[in-house]
Amino acid sequence: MSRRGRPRFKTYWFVYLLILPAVGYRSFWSVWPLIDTVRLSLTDSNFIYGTESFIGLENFRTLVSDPDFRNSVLISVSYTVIIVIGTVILGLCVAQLLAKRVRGRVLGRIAILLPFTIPTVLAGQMWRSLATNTGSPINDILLRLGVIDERIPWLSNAWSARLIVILASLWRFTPFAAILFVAALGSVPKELHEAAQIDGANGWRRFRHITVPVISPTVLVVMMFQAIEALRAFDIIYALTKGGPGTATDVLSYHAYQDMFFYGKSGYGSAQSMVLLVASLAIVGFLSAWLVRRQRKMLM
Amino acid sequence: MNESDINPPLSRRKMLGGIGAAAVAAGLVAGGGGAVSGWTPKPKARPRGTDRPLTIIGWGDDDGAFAGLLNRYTDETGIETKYLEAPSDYPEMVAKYLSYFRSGYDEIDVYLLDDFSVGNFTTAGWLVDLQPAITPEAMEGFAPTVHDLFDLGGYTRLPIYVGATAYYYRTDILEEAGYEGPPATWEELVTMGQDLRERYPDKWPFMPMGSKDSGADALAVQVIWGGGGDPTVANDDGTKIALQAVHDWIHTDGIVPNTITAQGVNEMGPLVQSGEAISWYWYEGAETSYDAEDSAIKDKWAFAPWPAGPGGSFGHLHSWGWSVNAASPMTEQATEFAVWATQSAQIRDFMVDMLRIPPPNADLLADPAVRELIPYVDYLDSNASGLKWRPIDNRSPLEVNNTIGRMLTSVITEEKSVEDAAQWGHDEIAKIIG
Amino acid sequence: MNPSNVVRVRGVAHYALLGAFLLIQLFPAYWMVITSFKTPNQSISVPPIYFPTMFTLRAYRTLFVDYNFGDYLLNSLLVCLGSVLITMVMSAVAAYGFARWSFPGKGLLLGALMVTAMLPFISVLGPTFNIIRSLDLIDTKRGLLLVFVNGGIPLATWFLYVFFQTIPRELEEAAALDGAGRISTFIRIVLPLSVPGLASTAALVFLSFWNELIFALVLTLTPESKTLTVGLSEIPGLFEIPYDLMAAAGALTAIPAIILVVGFQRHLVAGLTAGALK
Repeated sequence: MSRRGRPRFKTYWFVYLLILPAVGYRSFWSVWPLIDTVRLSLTDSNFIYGTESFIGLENFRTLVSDPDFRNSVLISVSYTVIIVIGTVILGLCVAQLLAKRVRGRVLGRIAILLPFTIPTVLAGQMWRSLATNTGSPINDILLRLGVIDERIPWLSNAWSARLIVILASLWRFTPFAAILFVAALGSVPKELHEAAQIDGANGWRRFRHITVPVISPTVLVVMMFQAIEALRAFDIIYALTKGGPGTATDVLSYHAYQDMFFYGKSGYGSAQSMVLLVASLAIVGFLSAWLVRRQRKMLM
Repeated sequence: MNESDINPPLSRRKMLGGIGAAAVAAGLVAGGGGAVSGWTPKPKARPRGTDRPLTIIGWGDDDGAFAGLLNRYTDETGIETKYLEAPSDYPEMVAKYLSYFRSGYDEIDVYLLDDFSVGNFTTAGWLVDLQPAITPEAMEGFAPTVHDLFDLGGYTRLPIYVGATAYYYRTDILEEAGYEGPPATWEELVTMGQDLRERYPDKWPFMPMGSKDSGADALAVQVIWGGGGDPTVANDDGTKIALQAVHDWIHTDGIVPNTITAQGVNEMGPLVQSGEAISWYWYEGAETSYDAEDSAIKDKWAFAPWPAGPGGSFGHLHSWGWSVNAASPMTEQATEFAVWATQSAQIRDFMVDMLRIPPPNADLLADPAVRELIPYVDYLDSNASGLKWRPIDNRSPLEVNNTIGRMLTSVITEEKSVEDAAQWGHDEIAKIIG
Repeated sequence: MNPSNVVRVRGVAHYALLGAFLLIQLFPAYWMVITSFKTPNQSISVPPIYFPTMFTLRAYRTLFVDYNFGDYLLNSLLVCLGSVLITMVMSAVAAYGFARWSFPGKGLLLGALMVTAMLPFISVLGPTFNIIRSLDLIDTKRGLLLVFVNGGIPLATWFLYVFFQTIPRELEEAAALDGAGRISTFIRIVLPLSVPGLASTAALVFLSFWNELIFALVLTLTPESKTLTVGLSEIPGLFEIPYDLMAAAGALTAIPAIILVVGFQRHLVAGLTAGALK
């Protein structure tokens, strides 16, 4: 860190002035809701009935035994795991394709950025158009290829709806992973690969022992971002299935949204918010610690 | 990757050029679109306080029916009005209204509400009791079903129509298969259905809407009544008969697809047009889309009372109406508007003539011209005993009806047995109703 | 197999996979764009029409005439551009402070900034709505701007914080030795060097504003302030989904994304990579 002479408190006033607008503005809008969420989660607050009395950890106890909440947790967790693993693997594959200097690289970059830069809700709607009951291109292509022999109503069955949600999410989130992996792959020194090749190591072994260690911090960072994004996923579900059919795609954020803004259960909904927040922080904390430990190991 | 990939030099000119290009492009799109359509930006006047227009929020107004209503109001009373369109997606509408009401937002005076949200919002104390403002003449002007509605849910809403569900079917297909009319009982539904399924393997004999947001609760309530059960009790014999019946229609008799849990109001349109549905249930006002110029089923459909279960034939009544925001500074004017807008003269113009939806007014319902224009009125009349109001508990109707819908869904997906589902429904409802 | 054959096969496989990838990634967008030029009947036809024989601008015209999309486009542009400007100013200044100094509470404040970004939106929606309402800014572009800026601060501050750290201090120290004040150093030396980083951060922040849905949905009531994404989300109607209109609206909403991506893809990639990997 730079030091302009010995740090004295008097010299800090300038820095605080610099960060005041951003930090102050953010605090005004976001710190109060944070405190309010914690407070509400400990009450039985409900907009409709107008109640608001302190009930301690009762909400959380109810959550644990609430089958709908448990269903949401299950769905969110599986969704997150699938998206994290899926985007990492697919991202790596795509990055391999784009890393070399081949023609079509720029087109590939555009293709990669596009799903990432449009509104998530638009991504959801695009896939909804693809998976409609009548006139769905997906059905048409599968029919022509002979993979299926009658149209599948994608968003009407629990499992096919989940599949579409996952496909749309992978389509939307893989690009981010791929971009980061392209950078990471590019930082693997070529000389190591060449040396290993001369020594007779084949592609897979080279990958495992040379590429993996170098890119593993990036993999962890990608996993962290994707996990948080997947845990909070709302827009895609909102545009595609609205939590349905039934409760097949009722992820945590959508479930909490419904409880809070449809049934008015602000206390119960805030408790669910807390669960989401704590889970996100735990993921960040866990993966960051792993990252730090790994980097420390590498330096040794 | 070399240095320039990590930090590509970006000349100021290129960036400004890029921004300029983007701005020009956006301007071209907006201007081009405008040129194509003659659109001009809306003026920005924003009056405040009680000098502002009476502000009313309701359905999307593609055909201008509501705009016409409001213009007439201004012509008659001289009071300026402003119309806002609510989200057409129901949960979105509720979420938005909830936020506004809860924060005491006072710049919307009149809301168009359905049976469920009005119950919840009344419990929360956000709506004005309109009873004092309804004169005895106005009261008499309303049909008996509306009086039932008032008894059920109080006077926080004045209905702009009374609708009901009916059993819709394809007349041409039934005729081709040799049937004289629609099934009258559940048994007939099954036997006819199985026969039809054999003849037309690519069609479904019965496709009732059963989706989470727009179907499951409606279907459940009607079927439970048909079985002779009480939805608020949920674990009585009639309910179990009904749940079992729906389950069997799908899994044993094969006349209903198991995809109905994802088929709601949005999905039925294409399913009906594609011919996949031989019979289904729908609401009033179907002629406008079913008999439209490009409709595939033009003149090939009809409706009838629901096939009767052991408990009888039941469809459900439902309604939307005007409610007044208690936080509004203009509750008097708002109430006057609500009363004015639900009188026969107004209803005739915008509900009957423009939207072809059955009116809540006794004189209009008795008028032969109206009956000819809207065949549904006959159905409402002749089946009065078989049609019941949908919200079955007014303290928290959203939750209660949703729970009933989920009870049915869990039986359809075979997640629960009929016994377990009924018990679960009973326990959940007891928790909510308290 | 001799080595050159192996290389050729691998090359072919490489291109094949690349082609398949491009196809899958781009097909949904292609489908949307092509559907936006269809008539309503064409848009739900079975089998689907992959390339219409006749194109029509009917969908776009309907959006501008009946659905107020002209207003929505204008609102989105004004609110997003304004928000980006304000966000960048506030965040650049703060990020510079974080990057160049260490001071008591630095870690805490930086961490707090990021933690607030993880709070689920449903917790922030209610209080935000109440604040906007008490400021009497419901259904205004200004209200949206205030809310958007708040959302953009963590993203912009973090990315710029990372970015400023890559600028060598020697230049600033040299300027200090020459007697230049801190502010003029910032303006005359640091900023010009940061143009790439500022540009890519601004682009990412702009996109995040352009694509915002939930807050805009709740805070707007009329075409006075409704944005493009709100208009897009309102197209699925009460009874049927007009796929042609939805596609046209989607295409309009995606235009800035496309412009930014095609024009600035290298910079976006660089910005993302740098910001995420620190």
